[in-house]
Amino acid sequence: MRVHERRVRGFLRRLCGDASADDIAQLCFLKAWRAAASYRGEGSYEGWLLRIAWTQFLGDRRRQRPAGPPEPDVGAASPDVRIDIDRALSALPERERAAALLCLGEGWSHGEAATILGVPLGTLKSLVARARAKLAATLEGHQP
Amino acid sequence: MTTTDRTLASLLATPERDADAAFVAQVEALVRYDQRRAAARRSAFKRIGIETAAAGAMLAAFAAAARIGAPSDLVPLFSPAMAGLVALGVWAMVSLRVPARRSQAFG
Repeated sequence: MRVHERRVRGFLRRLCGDASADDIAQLCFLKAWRAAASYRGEGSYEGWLLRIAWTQFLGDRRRQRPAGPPEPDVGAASPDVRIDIDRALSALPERERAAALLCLGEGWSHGEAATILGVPLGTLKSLVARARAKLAATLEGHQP
Repeated sequence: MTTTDRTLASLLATPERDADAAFVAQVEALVRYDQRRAAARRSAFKRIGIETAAAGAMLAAFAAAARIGAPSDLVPLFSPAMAGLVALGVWAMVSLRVPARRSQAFG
């Protein structure tokens, strides 16, 4: 757990943008422990964990609806571009946000991210493309 | 990879840091609690099953005893009364063993 805690929590924090991320992360690790026997070694262990985290996140959001978009996770000393990207990320639909975090931020392949999010590969590619276009547009606003 | 992709990657990646020891300890405690709770639940279900079986055995014994008439009669080897007595014996054996095992589940 020490090895994967940072990335799982980081993913959930950017996804949720609120204090519920740590609660979801705790439940994710607990579920992973309970279901450890069902992990068959297909794909990476971290991908399996992230899939549990994503499912847990969706379940949590379903119970909490209606909920607005998450508050941006912005550090006090962050530059403007980071603030704007965090805002743009927060404004994305959940699936686009997750796809962007996994593929653009963490470097997962489209196939791996599709497995984690439980969507077809084509859908995942569309999600990433849409998210990338929106985030890139935000970046362009900062270019001189 | 374009400049935009590189910039996005750096902005979206999870920042590098060491594992959060407090969080890890919290989750490990949660897992230990879950283990104890699961063991207690298994033990409780087992206990309910045993107690139900024992109660059934008692009822069967009483029913058998009621059918053979006066309690001073000799009990034949192959009779409902003997079956009831055997069931009572099994119940007594099981009931004497279970409390010791139950206490281990919480240890």
